[in-house]
Amino acid sequence: MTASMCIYIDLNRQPAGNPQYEVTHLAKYILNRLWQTVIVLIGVTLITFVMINIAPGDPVAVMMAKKADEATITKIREQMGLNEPLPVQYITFLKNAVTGDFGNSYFQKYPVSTLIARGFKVTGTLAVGVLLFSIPFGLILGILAAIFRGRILDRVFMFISTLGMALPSFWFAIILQLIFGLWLKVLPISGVNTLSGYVLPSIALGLIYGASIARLTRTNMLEVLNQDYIRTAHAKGVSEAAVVLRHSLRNAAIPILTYLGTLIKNILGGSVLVETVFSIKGLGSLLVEGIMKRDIPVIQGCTIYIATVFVIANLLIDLLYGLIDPRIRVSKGGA
Amino acid sequence: MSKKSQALPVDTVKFSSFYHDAFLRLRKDKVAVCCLAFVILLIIVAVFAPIIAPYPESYQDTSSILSGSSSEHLLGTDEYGRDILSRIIYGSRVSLMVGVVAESIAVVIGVTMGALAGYYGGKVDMVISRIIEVFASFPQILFAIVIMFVLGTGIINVFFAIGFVGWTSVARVIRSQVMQLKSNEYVEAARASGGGNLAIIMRHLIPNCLSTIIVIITMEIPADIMYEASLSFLGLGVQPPQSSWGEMINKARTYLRANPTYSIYPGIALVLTVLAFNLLGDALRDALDPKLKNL
Amino acid sequence: MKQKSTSILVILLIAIMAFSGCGGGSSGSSSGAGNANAASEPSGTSDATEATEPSGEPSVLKYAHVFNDMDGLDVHRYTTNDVIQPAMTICEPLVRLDEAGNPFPLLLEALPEMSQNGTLFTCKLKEGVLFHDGTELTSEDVLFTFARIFDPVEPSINYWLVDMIKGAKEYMNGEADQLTGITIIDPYNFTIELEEPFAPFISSLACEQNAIYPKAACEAAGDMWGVTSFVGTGPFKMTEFASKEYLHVERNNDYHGELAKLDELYIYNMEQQTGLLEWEAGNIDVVWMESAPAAQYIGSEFEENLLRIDLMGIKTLNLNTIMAPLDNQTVRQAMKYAIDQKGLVNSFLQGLANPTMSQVPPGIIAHSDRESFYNPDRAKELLAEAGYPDGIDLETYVDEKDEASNVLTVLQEQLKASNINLKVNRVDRATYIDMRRAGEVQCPVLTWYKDISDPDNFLYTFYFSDNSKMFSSNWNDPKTDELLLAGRSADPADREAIYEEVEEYLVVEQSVMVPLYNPSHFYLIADGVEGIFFDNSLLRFDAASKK
Repeated sequence: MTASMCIYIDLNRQPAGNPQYEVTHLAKYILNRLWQTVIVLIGVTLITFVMINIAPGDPVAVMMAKKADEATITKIREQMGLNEPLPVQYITFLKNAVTGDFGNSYFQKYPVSTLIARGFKVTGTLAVGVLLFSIPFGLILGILAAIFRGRILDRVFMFISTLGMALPSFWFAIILQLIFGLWLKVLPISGVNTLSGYVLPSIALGLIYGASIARLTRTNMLEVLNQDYIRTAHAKGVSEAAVVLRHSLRNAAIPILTYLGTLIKNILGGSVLVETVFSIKGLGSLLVEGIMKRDIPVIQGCTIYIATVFVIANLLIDLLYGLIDPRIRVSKGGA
Repeated sequence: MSKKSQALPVDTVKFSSFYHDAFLRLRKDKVAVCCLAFVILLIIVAVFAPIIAPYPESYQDTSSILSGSSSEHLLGTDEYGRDILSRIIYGSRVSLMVGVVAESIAVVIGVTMGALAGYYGGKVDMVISRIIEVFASFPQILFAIVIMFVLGTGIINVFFAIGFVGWTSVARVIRSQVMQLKSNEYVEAARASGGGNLAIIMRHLIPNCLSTIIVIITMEIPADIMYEASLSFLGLGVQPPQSSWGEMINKARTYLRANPTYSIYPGIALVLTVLAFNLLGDALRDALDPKLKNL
Repeated sequence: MKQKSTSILVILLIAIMAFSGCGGGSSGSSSGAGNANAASEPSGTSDATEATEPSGEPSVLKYAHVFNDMDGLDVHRYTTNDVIQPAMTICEPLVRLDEAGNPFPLLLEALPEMSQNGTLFTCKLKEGVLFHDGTELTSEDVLFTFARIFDPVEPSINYWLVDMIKGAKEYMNGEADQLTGITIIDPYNFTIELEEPFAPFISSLACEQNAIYPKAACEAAGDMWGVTSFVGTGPFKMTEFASKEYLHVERNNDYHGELAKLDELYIYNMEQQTGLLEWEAGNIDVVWMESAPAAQYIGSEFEENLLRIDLMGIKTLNLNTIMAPLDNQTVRQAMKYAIDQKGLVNSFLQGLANPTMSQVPPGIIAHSDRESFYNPDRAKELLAEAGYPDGIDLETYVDEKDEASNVLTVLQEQLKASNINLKVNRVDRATYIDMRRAGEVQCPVLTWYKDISDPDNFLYTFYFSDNSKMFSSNWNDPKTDELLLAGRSADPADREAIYEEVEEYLVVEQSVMVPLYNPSHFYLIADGVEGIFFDNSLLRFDAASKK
């Protein structure tokens, strides 16, 4: 688990106890986060725009791969607005981005927003599949390991989890594809025409994250289980199951919420590997293919879209977190 | 323990005995020792690859294409007749170099940004934090791909691209650490005795973050190795005839029927390496700074 | 203890239910590609020889190829087979080529009549040919199609195939507001006039890039032509097009010729490995592959299903004649001796291609069967002669996804024996195309499949002075130009000699390029599938059937 997976909670700051203070503070926190989000999004568009325009490779040249003369190419560049000065192009781009209009793909003739919608439907479903697999997988593995702490099963489960974190998603995907697609023939080898097409990709991509969640769950569960109030419950004769489920689970699960933001980002990024192996046309493939062809509208649209999804997801998670845990509000709101 | 002269400043003494204790703790953990041994073995293999590998990296033995294990080729050959074992050995160079180079870049940028943000606070912190958020809002691998299309392909550019997107996690943690540390007494003392801000940062704050930096590096390296393997899998990493485990796995897909183990062995190498670094990182973190358990 | 175990059981039970829920009840329908009901073998009771027999299920053929660029269907906007292959099931050109490579009339009553001076072609359309939207094919549609090819605002990328039509250049430049070269006489009769005689013109008309579009439907569709709307005269009509994924067509029951035997046809874009797996699993009927993966099926249980098609095409190492040290003719000669075509073909191609030392493929006039010049010692000698006793350094670029990348990997190793140090930079397609077009790549590997079975297509296209920069050859030589132009307008009887001369001159004397091999394509065809016609690198399903 990398350092990037957590918000660093500054526990040295004192939490506020005054309700009135808390309400205005909550409002202030929300506004602050919204404002930050806007700035970050603008930064995202700027970086994307800059990077794309520095990159070599003329999209029109790719389209005319076989043969065309300079005059035709210039004509087509004019049409696409590629001859305007860069700052002008950026402003136009920004104006359009706000309305969700990224223009038309140079190669596929569809508006970029349509392509992104199509890709997002697939990648989004994949993301849901990954969450549906990794969260229960991780929770169960982590909880079981925590229950059997210190014993053989604990070590076994943690070994599985450690191994899972080291397994490259694309390699695992190939193996799954062979076993379940070709040899056993129970699941599709490629494509997502039916829902079952999402199963193997979700597992292939989700194993790493499930493993991380397992470790996170176990660690947090152990911390919680060591606390006084749990010991009290035990002393009172509450069953292990009740202890686990009712008392510790909620507290142990909160850090997973934090992890969710990073998880979403990693899914959006890592999906391209799994999409390649299973020939799924999702957002990741759209972006990578767009980059290969210098399909600038697609690259811009996808990058902005993916970053925006992540930023907004983070925002929602932070707001949710802020509602649940007042300590966070104070430390992050001030930054 | 070791004898230290009284003239040394207090935190330096704490320094060396702290690491000494950490090392002792590490030594007790058998798993960690195994992993450390594996990593050291990997480094040896990578450095001495030309001596250890049975064949040169690009040597094409056209008489045995896509053959399985044999006495001449212990792990078989690929589609050009190159020895797979040799290429796995040479591939370790790429994986380790990614760790070293990319992390160096990430650490340099990350520590600088994090320390500045943590120490100065206020507007500086605000600006830097926003920059961190912007960079952190792109999925690393996609960002690396985009950077590589600006820079062009090639293994050096891969290292740079990965390092360039990985600095945000370092920066975040360093920032928090520095924010905590700057209120410590010795900082006040240093300021009182006339030390400039930069000197304070360089001489006092950063060295005290060293254990954190070590932990982060060790935990980010496996991620970097995975990114490089992923990029090479997508065809964006090494140039022929250089070998990389990810690239081998990609190429092997088309030849599953002819030589199935072609894709298995590089995958195993990758898994073992990442596993070793992961476990080592865990153990280091436990030994050096249990407070970082939340990382 | 008992409490612990019950709680564990409960958790495990939940886990099992969660997983089976994730697995989805739909795991029964295992076909990952296309219609769930049509993928499996049809019941054995139907008599599969007559397409009109009501069999239990529709006969659906699924073909998978690596078609990463299948972005649209409009053949005016793209140059690759990725688009031409799906499009040609729907649209047709005026004439086609038969197995021997000779043109036969498709939408015309008979082959065009050529005038004495070779510049005027008189054509008569078949009557009663209907487009899929029910409108009839007339001369208006032909004029519309060619005017669209030369459209001044957005011309067809492939306009150069037919730009010898009179008035085409003027119309494209905006100097004329009409395409004067095509004259409509009446709804079924029209003439095409050329600027100068061009012997293979009728074959040019057979190119799929010159398929005839319906004026009404095409204008109505605007930008969405070839995306959501694509109408032609072909044996199949479009049902659904998911760009980059697949094209789904169904039989056109009003076809002007013999009806297709298939009810439906899918053309999929699939990654190589995925396609092979899907074929082996029985989800796909026909899959394409290159030589390298094909070798593993020889000697396997699928050997009977493997079909090899030797292509009329070439892979050549172009040498950049203005970039040192290749601007030195002696150095270029050395390259000729440094390359072992046979060794290359026996490497990752595993012998499944045809090594060649001629820029023109076999089967076309001016092809030469000359042997390879491979001789590393001679190569080193020549380099020393040219002033490079220690060898030379070369650096080139290649599209990483192309087979050319593999070729260069092998060549890189081969060239070492001649003291030639070749550095290969794999870049993305866009960057590569950019550099190649700017004439900046030192030794690009060219892949070319014939547009027409004519040496002009393999020589004029690359080595005529106006064209050579685009392929990073930069060859600019008056003698070459003279011969190539002469060949274009010469009498058919004289052409062979002219092209033989220029081919020998370019390959042997000047060593402007080093031919490598003629590629072969391979297909795995499922049992029961018959009647597919392989037109070089394209497949025609007009007469295909599936049991």
